[in-house]
Amino acid sequence: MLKLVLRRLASAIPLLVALSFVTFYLLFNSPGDYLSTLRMNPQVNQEYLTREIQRLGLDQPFYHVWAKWLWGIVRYGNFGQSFQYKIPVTDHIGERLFATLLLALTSTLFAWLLAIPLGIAAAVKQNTLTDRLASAIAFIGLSVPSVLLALLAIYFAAVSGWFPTGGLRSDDAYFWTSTWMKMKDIAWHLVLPTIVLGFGGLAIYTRHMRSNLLETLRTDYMRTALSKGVPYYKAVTRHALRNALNPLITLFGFAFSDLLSGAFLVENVMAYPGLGRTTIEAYFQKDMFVVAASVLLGATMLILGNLLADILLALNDPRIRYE
Amino acid sequence: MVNRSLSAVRAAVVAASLAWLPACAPDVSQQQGRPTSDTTTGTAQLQGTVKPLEGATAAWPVPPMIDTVSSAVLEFKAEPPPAGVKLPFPDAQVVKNITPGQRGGTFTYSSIGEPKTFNLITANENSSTQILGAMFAGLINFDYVTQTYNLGLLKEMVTENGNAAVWILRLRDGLKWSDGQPLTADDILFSNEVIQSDSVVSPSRDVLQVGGKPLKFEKLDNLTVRVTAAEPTGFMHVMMSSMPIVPKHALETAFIAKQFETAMLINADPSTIVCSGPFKLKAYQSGERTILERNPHYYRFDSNGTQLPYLDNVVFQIVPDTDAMLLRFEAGQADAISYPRMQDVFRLRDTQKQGNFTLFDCGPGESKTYLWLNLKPGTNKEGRHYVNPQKHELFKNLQFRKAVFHALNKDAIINTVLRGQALNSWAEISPVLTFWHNPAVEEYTFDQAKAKQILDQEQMIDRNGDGVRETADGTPLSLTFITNKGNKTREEIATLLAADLKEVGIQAVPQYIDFNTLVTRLNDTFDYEGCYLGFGGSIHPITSMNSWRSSGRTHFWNPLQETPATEWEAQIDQLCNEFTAALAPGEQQRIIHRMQEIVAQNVPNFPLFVSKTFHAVRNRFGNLRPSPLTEVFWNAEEIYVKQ
Repeated sequence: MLKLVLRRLASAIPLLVALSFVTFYLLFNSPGDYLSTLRMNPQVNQEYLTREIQRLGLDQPFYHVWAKWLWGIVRYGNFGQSFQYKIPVTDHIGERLFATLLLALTSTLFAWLLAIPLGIAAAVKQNTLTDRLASAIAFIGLSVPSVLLALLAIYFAAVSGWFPTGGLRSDDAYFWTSTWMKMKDIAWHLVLPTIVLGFGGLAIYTRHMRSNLLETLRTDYMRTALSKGVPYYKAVTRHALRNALNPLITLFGFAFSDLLSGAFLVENVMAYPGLGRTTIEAYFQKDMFVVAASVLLGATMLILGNLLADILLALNDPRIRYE
Repeated sequence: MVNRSLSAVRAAVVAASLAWLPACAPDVSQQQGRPTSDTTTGTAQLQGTVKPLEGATAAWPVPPMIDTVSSAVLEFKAEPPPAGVKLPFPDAQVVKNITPGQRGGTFTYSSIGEPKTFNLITANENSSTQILGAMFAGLINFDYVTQTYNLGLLKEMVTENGNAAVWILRLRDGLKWSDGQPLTADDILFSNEVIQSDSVVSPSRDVLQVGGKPLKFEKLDNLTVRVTAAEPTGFMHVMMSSMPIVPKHALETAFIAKQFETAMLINADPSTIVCSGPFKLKAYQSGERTILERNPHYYRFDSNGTQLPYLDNVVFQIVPDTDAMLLRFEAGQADAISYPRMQDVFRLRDTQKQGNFTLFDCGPGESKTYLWLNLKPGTNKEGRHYVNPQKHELFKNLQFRKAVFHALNKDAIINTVLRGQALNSWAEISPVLTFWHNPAVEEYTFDQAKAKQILDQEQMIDRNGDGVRETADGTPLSLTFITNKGNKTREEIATLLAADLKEVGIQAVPQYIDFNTLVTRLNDTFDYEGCYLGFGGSIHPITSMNSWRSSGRTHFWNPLQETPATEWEAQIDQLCNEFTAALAPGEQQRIIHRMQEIVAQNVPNFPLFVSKTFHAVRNRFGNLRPSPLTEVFWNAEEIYVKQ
C-alpha cells in the first residue's frame, strides 16, 4: 500500500510541472496582462508602466518566469507574490482555502449523509412511495443547474429573511465576544451554500446507491444469505451494502476535486469568500502566480482524491490488491 | 476630507462590463472674486436635453464659484475659527456648513472588488483608494459637490513673494496620526522621498512634477515646508491634493530596508497601519469586508465642537457583482448603493418608501462614451499596416468623419437604450466638470440628409448598387468597430450605431471582444478600424494631458506620435504647454475651452453621451452630500445617524 502511495505521488510530480508550464504559456500568450486596465488610464504615464513591468518581470519570456517560479518552489517553498496584493501567494490562497474547504466539507457531508440512506431506502423499498420520493428529489437535483439553484436560494433568503443573502459572517459578528455566537453565525451563513453545492452530488449519489444496491440485492450470495436465515437488515448492511459501495468510492475521488471547481460558481453567485472567487478574480486580472498556484492546487486535489478513493476501495474490498 | 487626495490615482474604470466604477466647509478665502455664473443658469445649461428623473431627489452639479477675471494664482489661507467653539488645539478645522449631528452608528457600504493594499503610496486602483480615502487626509482637499479645492492638513499654501515657482506649505499646529504621534513637516518630506525613490513604484511620482522635473521639498521648520518647482505653476493645489502623506515614524524602517512596497499590505496587523484620516483600520476579512473605526485624533470638528467623524464604524462589504450589491441594499444589509445600473434605477425609485431610502439623481457623471476611428498611420514591426492604407485615407478625410457624426442619432439611443437617463454631449470634457466643460463647441446634430450630401460631395457614391458607398478609387465605406463584450447596454448601442450608419450608406460592423484583447489592440498592436468605448474621466484636466497631447499613450485615435500628425494636433500640443504654464484659473479655463473647440472642429472622435449618476441611501443618515463624481460616502466623516 505504501508503495502505491509513493508511486502515485512520484508520478504526480511531472504531471504538475507540465501543467504549470502550460498554465504559464497560456497566461503569457493570451491577450492582455496585469497592467491592461492601467494602460487605459490617461492618468497613468508610460514611465510608471515601464517600472511596473520590470518589477513584475513581465518583460521576460514566459519560460524564464516559469522556471524561476518553479525554482522558487523547489528551493524555498515560495510560490511567488500576488501581483495585485503583493503578499505571498500561499498567504493569499491560504486565507481563502479555509472557507472553501469548510464549504466543501459541509456540502460533502450533506450530500453523502443524505444520499446513502436515501439510496438504500429507495432500493430496499423499490417501487414504493419512498422510492418515488427519493427518485423525485434525485431527478430535481440532476436537472436543476446549480446556478439556478443558487439564484433561487438567494431569492428565498431575500424574500423570507430567514437566511443571509451571502457571505460567511455577519457584519456585526466581528464585534461579538462570544465564540459560540460567532460559530452559530457561520453555521447560519453556511446553510444555503451547503445545500446548493451539495444538492447535485446528493442526486447523483442517491441514484448510484439505489441502482448498485438493487443489483447486489439480486445476487446469488444475497439469496443464499437470506435463505440461510440472516436477518434482512443485516444481510443488506453487511453483505449488499459493502459490495454496492465500490463504485461510489470511485465517484468520491472525483467529487473531491469537483467540489473546488463547483464551488467557483456557487461562491461567485452567493458572495462566499472562498478560493473560487479569488481564482476567477486573479484570472481576469492576470495575477499570474495566483492563477498558477490555484491550478496546481486543483490538480493536486484531484490526484489526492483519486488516491484516497483507491485506498478506500482497497480497505472496503479485500479482493482489490495494488501489488 | 475623504478621498480627494487620491483623485489622481483613480483606476482606469474603462467603464467596461466590469461595471467597476466609482463637502465640507471651504474654510478658505479663495473665493473673493465674482462667480462666473450663478447657480440657476448652470443647472439650466446642464439640463439642456436631459431632466432630473421624476420621483428621485435631484442633486445636480452647479458651476464652482471661481474667479475667472483675476490673473492671480490660487492661494489658500485658513480663516480664523469661529468664536465660541471649544477646540482642543487652535488650528483644528471647524466645518461650518454641516448640520451638527451626534456620534454613533455604522455606515455599511458594499462594493465590487476588494482592497488590494492599504499602502497609500503604491495603491493604484479604485477598490483600494476608495477605502484609503477614508483613512488618510490630504494636504489639500477636493470638495466633490462644489468642485473646489480647500485646505486640508494645511492651514496655508501661498507663494513665496508672489513667485509661483516657490510655495510655502504650512501645516496646522497640533495634528496627530492615529497612534497619537505628531504629524509634521518631516512626514511631508518623507512621503516625497518615498514617492521619488527608485525602490518604490508609485503612481504619484508623475503627479509631483512640473516641466518634467520633480518638485523639491525643504523643511523650514517643524510645520513649514518650502516646495520649489522648476517653473511657476498654477496647479500646486492639484498636486498637493493628490500627494499621499504617510507617517515617517511608522514606515521609515521599512523604507530604509527597501521593503516599502510590501509594507501596509492587506495581511498587516491593523494596529500597525497608522493613518491621518477620519477613520482607521479595525479589521480586514479577506473576501468579506473591511471594517474602519473612528480615528480619535482627527483634526476636524463641527460648530458644536464635536470631533468628527460622527460614525463609530464604516463597513465596506465585498460583493462579487452588481446583482449582489443591489440585493444587499434591498435586503437592508447595506446602507447605500452608488452607481446602480440604469435598469435598476427605476425599480429603486419606486421602492424608496418601502425601503426607507432616497434615490439621488446627481445628473450627468464623468464617464463618457466615444466612437472613434483609428487614425494611426504606418506599419507594425512585421510590415503590416495598422489600418488598410485606403481605409486610412478615408478615415483621415475630415468630411467623411463629419458625415459619420451627422449620421448618428444619439438622442434616439439615449431615449431608448438609456431610457432618457443620459445627456447628449459634444465636448471632450463632461458637462459635470462645470468649470472646464465648454458648452459652446460645434455640434453635429443628427441629419441624415446632410450626411448624405457631404458624402456625395466627396464623390463617395454607391457605384455598384450594394447599398454601401465607395470612394472614387473604389474603396467601400465599410468599417469594423470593436467594443468590449459582456456589457448588454453597450452591445445594444453598438447595434444602433451600426444601423444609423447603414442608413447613409456606410457599412459598420460591431465586433464584441474580450476586454483584455481590446486593450491590447488599442494600446499595443493598434490593429483595429474603429472603437466604441466608455472612459472614466478625471476631475481635473491637468491629470489627463496624456489624452490631449499627440505624444500621449491614451491619445487613442493616434497615440504616441513622434511629431504631431496634423496641424490642429500641433496646435493642441501648444495649448497643452500653455495650459500647464497658465497660472490663473480663468486663463486655464480659456485654454481648455479652446482645446475642446479645436477637437470638436476636427472630430477625431465622436463623443456620444454622458450617463447620469444615481446614489441611493437610507433616510436615517444626515449630512449626505451626494456627488456625480464619486461614491456617496466621500464625506463619510460628516455623515451621522439621525435620531
